[in-house]
Amino acid sequence: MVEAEKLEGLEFKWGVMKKKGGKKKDVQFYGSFTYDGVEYFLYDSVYLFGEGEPDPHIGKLIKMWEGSDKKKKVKVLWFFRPREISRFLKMEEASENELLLASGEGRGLFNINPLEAISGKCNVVCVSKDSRNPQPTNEELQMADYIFCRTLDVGTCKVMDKIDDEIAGIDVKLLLNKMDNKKDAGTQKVGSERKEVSENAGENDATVSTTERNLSLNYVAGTSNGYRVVDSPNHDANLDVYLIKQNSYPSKKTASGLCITSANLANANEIKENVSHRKACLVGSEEKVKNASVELDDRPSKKSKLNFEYVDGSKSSMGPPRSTFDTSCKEAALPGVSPDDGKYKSKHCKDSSGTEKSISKKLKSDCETVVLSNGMLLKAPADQSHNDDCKSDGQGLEVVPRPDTNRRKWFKGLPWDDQMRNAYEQGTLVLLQNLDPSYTKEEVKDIVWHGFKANCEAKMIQRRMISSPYSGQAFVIFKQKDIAERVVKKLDEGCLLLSNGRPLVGRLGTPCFPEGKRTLFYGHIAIDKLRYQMPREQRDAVSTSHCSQPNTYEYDMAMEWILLHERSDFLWKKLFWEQEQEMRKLKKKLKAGNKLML
Amino acid sequence: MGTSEEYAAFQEKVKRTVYIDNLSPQVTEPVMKNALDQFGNVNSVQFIPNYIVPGNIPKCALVEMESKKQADAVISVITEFPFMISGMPRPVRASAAVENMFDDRPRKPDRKIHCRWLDNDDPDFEIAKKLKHLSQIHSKEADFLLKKQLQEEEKLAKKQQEELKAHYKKHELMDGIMSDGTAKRLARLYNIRPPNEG
Repeated sequence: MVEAEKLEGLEFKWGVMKKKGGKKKDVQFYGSFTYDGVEYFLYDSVYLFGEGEPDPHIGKLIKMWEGSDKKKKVKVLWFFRPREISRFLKMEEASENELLLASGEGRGLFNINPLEAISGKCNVVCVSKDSRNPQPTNEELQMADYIFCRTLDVGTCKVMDKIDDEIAGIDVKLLLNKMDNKKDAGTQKVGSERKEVSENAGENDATVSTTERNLSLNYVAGTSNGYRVVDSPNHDANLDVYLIKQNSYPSKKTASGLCITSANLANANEIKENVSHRKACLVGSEEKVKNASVELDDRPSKKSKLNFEYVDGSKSSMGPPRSTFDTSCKEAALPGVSPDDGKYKSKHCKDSSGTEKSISKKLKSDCETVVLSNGMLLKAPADQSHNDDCKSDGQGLEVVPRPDTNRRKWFKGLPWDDQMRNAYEQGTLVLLQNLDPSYTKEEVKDIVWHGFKANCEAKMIQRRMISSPYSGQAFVIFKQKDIAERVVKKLDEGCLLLSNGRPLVGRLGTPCFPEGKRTLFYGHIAIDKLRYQMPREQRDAVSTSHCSQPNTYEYDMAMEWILLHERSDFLWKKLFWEQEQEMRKLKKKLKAGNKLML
Repeated sequence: MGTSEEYAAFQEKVKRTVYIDNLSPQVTEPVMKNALDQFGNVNSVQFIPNYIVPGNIPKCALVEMESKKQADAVISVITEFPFMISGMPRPVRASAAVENMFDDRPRKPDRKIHCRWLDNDDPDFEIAKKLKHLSQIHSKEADFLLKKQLQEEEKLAKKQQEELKAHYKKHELMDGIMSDGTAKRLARLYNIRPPNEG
């Protein structure tokens, strides 16, 4: 009855059928569907793609249907990320992967979105001790992308620890963990996890010094306790050794600097020291891992999580109050939307584009590719700190893959055309020139990351007949206008020399959109009179193709075209070749040129 | 990691692919498939979007055939004969695809990229500045050449349209005198054999 169909090129199929509804009974509700090979059920948590958003939104599917117009819709009850609601919730009170469920009544509770906005499943586990909630097992907790135990009342804008009986007309039991998942009691879980962790740490005894292990134990204990930080000032003395390495850690300064002023920390100085010690220790231990190339358990990731928390926490307690938030922002940020869009977006971007986050993200992804990336980890921050003050020590940087390359693999995003259009409107689109034409977009992203420590989206301009074989171009989209402007300015004033010996050139991009106005094409002509006399079938059959025969007018004219093509081909080749010669002549004068070229 | 295998697979794909240029904007994927499946099986058609060149430049596409042999066949036919797709008389052009025509291409394995910021007092700084300036001149030059080329194309198209009109008129006239008997009358008048009878 329900057939598989294509939705934006992706396989789609409805699953369990439910009742019909709507005014004319023409709306068919469903209980599940399969989209792009993933089966979604009611009350599943999903990622939703917001236009131009660095991070996707997360929500629970509470209704799904197809209307008489064949449009597929889902009703989504939102989760909030703590930083989206930092006005109502202190960041340090929330852990990195905590979400808050929307509740109460008002804007921002739920939205109706096109089904296509769903970009993947998200595993959100409820850790509330509430008796209605089947407690999650250890495995489930480990598998979870996010956890939640609190709600945000969108009417009163209050964070609440208890969960209402009914949210958006849905029995809350359906929104908590699913019944069949129930296995373990919560209290047992925390204890056993700790035990496990300490055992793990013990195994690494050989490579990690005792103080460090203790410390990491502390960390880990902290993290498994809902990711709260446990202070351990007594380690300070032992850790002095690692302080030497502090310098190579760029975010250290910011993080600890912010910590001093954070009002809610009692003994600011002591904590500042703590932070820097720990940071240093992180670097130290990371190095150890590299040197010994021993396979560690997931300790580094826990640490980095912690690191993230520190940074984030201090940031939010420092930062100016974010008054732009309003509960409608979710609504605004999804495709097909209202003008607050921009406002929300820019705030949102600010949050995530800072160094702090990218670094912690990097640390996090590090543990996935153990040995290799550890080397990189040390290198990358060093690069950054020296780029920071726009100085160079005269050494070329090796552009190693960006640390977060494997982040969000499932993320499909908007088609490039739309992304580019948005970026152009918002002034975040930059055209980079003078690239090696064989670079891939990933490599361009890496270069941007190393040159400006900014993340971006990139697209190489595909080569065609009329593009230079010696120099490539790429469009990059930054998350924010001022980053784009900073990059352009820096490229204009400074010189970023690439492997091919060419300095990178950048300007704000003005793309042409293919489908803008109807494009003209010269060279296909027809006899107007005949066109109307032709039988219909023939007129519609213009999509034919053929080789032309030498005894026709068409053939003669075709020859004229071929001549013209050859001529312009020759001109292009000549132009590019001469340009390259000019470039080479100048490049020879570069002292470091030879060193750089591979 | 598999990147080198991935890259080798990509290189194979490049070899199977034909770059086709000078297409009318009306050409769509099915049209391309129809036009080229006489040479073999068309695996995929991908149009190269134009984001960068202002103005009306012809569409171009990457057509992946089933094998390199088929791709070569397409190229040799299209180079040898004027080949029309979706209109006349401007023929399309074909050449072997190269790697950087592709949008989704894997990294070259083992490639290292270096980049560095030059200090203001670095002797290379001035040269790099000049290089940047030069590249800007170069892109201006390319823009100019493209403009010229499009003008030439427009000119040729206009000229041919006129020619075609003239030819058509000529043929119409000829048809006219054949059908209304003028040709026969004239033949009798000049005492030569009337057309269509010999």
